[in-house]
Amino acid sequence: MKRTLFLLLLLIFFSSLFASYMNVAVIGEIRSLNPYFLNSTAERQVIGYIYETLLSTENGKTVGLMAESWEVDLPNRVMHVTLKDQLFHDGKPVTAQDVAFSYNLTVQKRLPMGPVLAYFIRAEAVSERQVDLYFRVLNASVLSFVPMAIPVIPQHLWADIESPRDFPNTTNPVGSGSMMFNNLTPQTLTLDSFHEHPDAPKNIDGIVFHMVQDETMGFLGLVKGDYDYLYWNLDPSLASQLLSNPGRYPDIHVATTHGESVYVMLFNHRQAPTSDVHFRKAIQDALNYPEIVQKVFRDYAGLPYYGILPKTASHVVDEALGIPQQDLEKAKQALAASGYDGSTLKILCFSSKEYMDMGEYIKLYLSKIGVKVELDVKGHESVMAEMKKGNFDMVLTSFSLGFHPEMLYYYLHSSRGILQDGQVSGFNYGGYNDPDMDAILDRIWTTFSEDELKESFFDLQARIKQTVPMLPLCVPLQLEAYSTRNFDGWLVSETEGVFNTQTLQNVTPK
Amino acid sequence: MSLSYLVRRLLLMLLTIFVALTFSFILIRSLPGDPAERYYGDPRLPQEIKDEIKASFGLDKPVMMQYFIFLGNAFRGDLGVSFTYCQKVVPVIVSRLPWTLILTVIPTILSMLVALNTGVSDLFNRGKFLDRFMRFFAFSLNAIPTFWLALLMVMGLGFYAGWFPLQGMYDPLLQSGWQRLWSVIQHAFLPWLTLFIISTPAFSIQVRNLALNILGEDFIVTARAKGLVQSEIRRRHVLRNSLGPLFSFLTLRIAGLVGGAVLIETIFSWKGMGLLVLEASRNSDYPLLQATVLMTIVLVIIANFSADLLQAAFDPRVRYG
Repeated sequence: MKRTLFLLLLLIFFSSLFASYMNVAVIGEIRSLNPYFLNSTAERQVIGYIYETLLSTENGKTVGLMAESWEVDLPNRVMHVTLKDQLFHDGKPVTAQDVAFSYNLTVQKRLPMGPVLAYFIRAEAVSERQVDLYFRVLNASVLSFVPMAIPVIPQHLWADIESPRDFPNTTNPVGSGSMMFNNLTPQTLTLDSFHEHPDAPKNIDGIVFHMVQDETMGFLGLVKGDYDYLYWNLDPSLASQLLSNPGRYPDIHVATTHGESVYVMLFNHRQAPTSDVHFRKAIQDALNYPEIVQKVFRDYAGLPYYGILPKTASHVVDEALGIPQQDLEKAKQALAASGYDGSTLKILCFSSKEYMDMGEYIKLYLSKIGVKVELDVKGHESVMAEMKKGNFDMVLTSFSLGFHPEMLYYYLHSSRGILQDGQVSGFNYGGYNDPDMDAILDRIWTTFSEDELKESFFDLQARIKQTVPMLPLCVPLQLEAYSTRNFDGWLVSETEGVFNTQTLQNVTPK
Repeated sequence: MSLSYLVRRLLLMLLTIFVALTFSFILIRSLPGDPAERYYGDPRLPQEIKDEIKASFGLDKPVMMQYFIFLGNAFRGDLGVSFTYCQKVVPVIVSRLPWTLILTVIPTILSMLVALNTGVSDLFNRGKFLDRFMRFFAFSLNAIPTFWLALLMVMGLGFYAGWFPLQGMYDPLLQSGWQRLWSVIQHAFLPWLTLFIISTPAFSIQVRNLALNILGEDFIVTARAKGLVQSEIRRRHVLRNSLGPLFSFLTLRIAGLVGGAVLIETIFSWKGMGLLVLEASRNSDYPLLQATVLMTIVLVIIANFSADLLQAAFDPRVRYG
């Protein structure tokens, strides 16, 4: 008996000694693991490993995550979903009842899941593995976010929780994702591989997420070997240093992949001269896009297409429309046609380095055609407040469009730009109003066929080129830093970067 | 110390807490930004749903009503639910407080002990090279910005030398208590060293100034006239009479550090009270921010009271009542 106990203890000791956990640094705090109340980027980054949703996106297309198959009954606004055979981390099977419970909880408890409550009504378990989702409004856009937003939680653990808002879920969060909870300390979250899941890491025991306060300390930790991956987009100047001196840090690598965010300049369409298409085209032709990419992003950005959508929206992007180019003569002609009176305009911009640098370059280019502008640099909250009031001439901002190009509906549809009680009703802050554009957007909103969707998006991009409702400036690359000091087998995916499911399944400890 | 004095003092403490709470409540509510907007801010949500979400955070009521609800709950010991931690704020603070105490108390006491020796010794070497050098050294160290020294420590001893972890509080994969304790000591060493280096000169200058005043007192002249040796005067008269004011200084400093070691905690990713306050204000987490402010106020008041008691204990001339 004593010998067995001793051997058991020895086994535990050695297994803990040789346990291989990947160390990943995240910026900010993980305070709660309640999937309905995520407050920080770090919480959003880790929660997807524990909890899953019915659908997800892969290379811009909708794919089943927990759903094996799904059908849309458009006239009745119902989605019929058949579930995969899956287990929760505590060994209990995931049933249609769990899915219905998770969805209905969102509605009953008014859980803040973005716009879900505006479109979703209820869910009903039809059989052990079939569930029906009923919508108030059902279109391609709603389909692309509701089943991708609501996490599926186990009913047997959540049924007794009266107030989900007061439930941190930090002692035993049970989901059905590829990783399961081990422990949470004020500085780290440790997740173990959930081997019942097909996407679970095969050769490592789990991941330790370290919460760090700033990027510099995270980078030092990566170089020292404390971390294997930094879960944020690397600063272009740092990436440039690393890539130009590969011998200095031989274990550190930078994965560069296409970005999904587009930096744009919005115009205020409610007032002259920005309401005039000639003026907007003059601005478009005046800018030197390659120079912005080179000087501000040190070449770690792509040139934008006329149609705004980035390369990552590959299934709908129209590359044939081309890339805007500087043509000062054309710009001056367009400006003359616009009736611009020489007044000084303001470019509202965030107080971060890349926005301010972009603003300075734009100011320089516009001075060459005789447009006078001043930069109005403000903090994030102040810029957002001004945008929501529609109180600007032009503003520099960015939109994430790579994985959800249909979001253009919210940025461009006239119904989203109505000014009421001093506030813009949607994300169309500039109040762009074009019936032709609205018609195209409405078509995208209600199209489920892939071919029709592509055609509508092509029309949309052509219309954007024609009317310049906003100006695409560049598409920064995704820059991810990782270390091969402790693990081999990192795989870089064009669309998902380096910290992806394939990498986690492929990496092996050295 | 009479009972009536204690009662008077207690009432004054409660009044101070009440006034500070009211002011902090008004100030916190005056911060720009709506804490619940991140939950209901999506323009696609209908107004009635937005209102319901806002109401679930108790932010739909007028500010005066929110204030009275807050006061009522605070008297019952309920300081509310954190918007970001999704739990009552008291356990959140209780889980963070010991880490700040570990971080601040040890180097502060150590630096006090060192300062007592150096401060008094320097004084007895007044005007000599060693005294001038030590004063110059102390003032120079005192002028170093905390964050800069902390970064030097991280780069020098953590990154280049590799002797200590760069940041964090312990290795989460270590299960055994002793291993974890050793891990905490390793992680705490650099922040301790930084705080020690920053605190010691300030204490040393304080001790020297106090002792300088005491050296001019009549009882020191009497002691000298009685023929007492230098070391005896230093130990029995100078040191003992310096202790009262010094303990006041020490208790206030620790109370201040509990709420204010933000820079050190940020650089070393040490999850204590300083970072908690910072987080709460960044996220407009009203209940958490209010509770941390309340805790800091209470600690400072208690520290003040303790300092007065210690003053009386060490200095027979001090009497309350």
